[in-house]
Amino acid sequence: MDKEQLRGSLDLLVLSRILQQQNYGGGIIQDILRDSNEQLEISEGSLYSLLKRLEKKQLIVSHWESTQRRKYYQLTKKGMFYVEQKLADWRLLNQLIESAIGEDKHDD
Amino acid sequence: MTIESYVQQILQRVEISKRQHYDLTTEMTTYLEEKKQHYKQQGLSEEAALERTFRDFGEIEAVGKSLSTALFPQRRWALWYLAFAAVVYAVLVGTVVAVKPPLIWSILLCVSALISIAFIRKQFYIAHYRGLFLLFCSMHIVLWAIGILYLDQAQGIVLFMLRGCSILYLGAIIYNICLGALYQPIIQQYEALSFKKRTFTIMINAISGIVIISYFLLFVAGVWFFGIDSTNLTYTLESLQMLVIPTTMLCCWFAVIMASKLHRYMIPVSWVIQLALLCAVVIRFYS
Repeated sequence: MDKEQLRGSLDLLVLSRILQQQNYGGGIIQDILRDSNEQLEISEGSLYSLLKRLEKKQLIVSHWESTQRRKYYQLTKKGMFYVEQKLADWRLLNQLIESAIGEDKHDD
Repeated sequence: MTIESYVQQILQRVEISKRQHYDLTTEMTTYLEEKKQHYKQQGLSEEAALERTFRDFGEIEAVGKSLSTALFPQRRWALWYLAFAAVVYAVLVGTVVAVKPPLIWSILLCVSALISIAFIRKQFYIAHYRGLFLLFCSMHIVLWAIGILYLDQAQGIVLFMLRGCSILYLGAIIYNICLGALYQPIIQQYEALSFKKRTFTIMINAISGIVIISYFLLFVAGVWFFGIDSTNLTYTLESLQMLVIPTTMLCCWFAVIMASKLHRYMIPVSWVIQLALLCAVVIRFYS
């Protein structure tokens, strides 16, 4: 996948993963890498940094799971609003691209 | 390499508080241990599992840099700015002015610039040994002040250029001093403040500190150069009396700063007292 394109969508990818259910850092990273079928050429460490950046931006919050020494992440209200906005933008863009492709096919 | 040392080497590149450091160490170590166990269950040896775990997580330098950018992006650029400004200042003042500063001054400035670059890879030490880092910044200020003494020999556009350079260098030093207090405060009371209040507090502390310390040093320099006469003890004692008010003001300022670190309710009180001290200095200076 193109790195620039990936960089723009990575935040949304991680946030939408947390939107589904709260999870610990390692779990989120593993889920994303597994679902991408190794299409994402990004290290786990970079994804960890991304989680920390999102936490600093107060889009997610974390808490310790007492028994397993794992830190679980969940979306904040701000994070939910951010995801909704970004998803709407992404869907609109997708729709525009699809309709443009549709018009091209129609012209052919 | 063990998981612990791998994590520590990554975290050395990030300026974070002790609590954050502990949290990140626990979180990353747990994750890497789990990953290693996963590979061992797949049949890999201890060493192979560790190597695979580290490869998946990423190179120490790259992960450290991305964590540092995520948590405290300003420090990396601030340190580069400080190093660059110190070298430019050393080269310009050391070559342009007629009576050149001693070579040791230029060497010390370049060494300080190199230490600043070294700090980029060891940002952890800035947070954990903040006092030492402030001492290092104070050394920059002393070197800056020595350079200022040579500037007046230049004239016209050269003097203008040198003054601009000295302001940029001083700005780099103050920026580095304030950054830590703003984004990674080690004092609990400051950490509890909102970013706006913290910025205001740091600004007041910095401005009042610069004014009051400069005022005190001005009097010390005056007494040192003009007030000490070994043949006239009465004159010397009278001159030393002039230091009483600046010293009292400096002690007051220091006590107020220390008090503001004890309890957060003392912070607004410290603003008022510092503003009063600033007004007193201005009034005394112009009267």
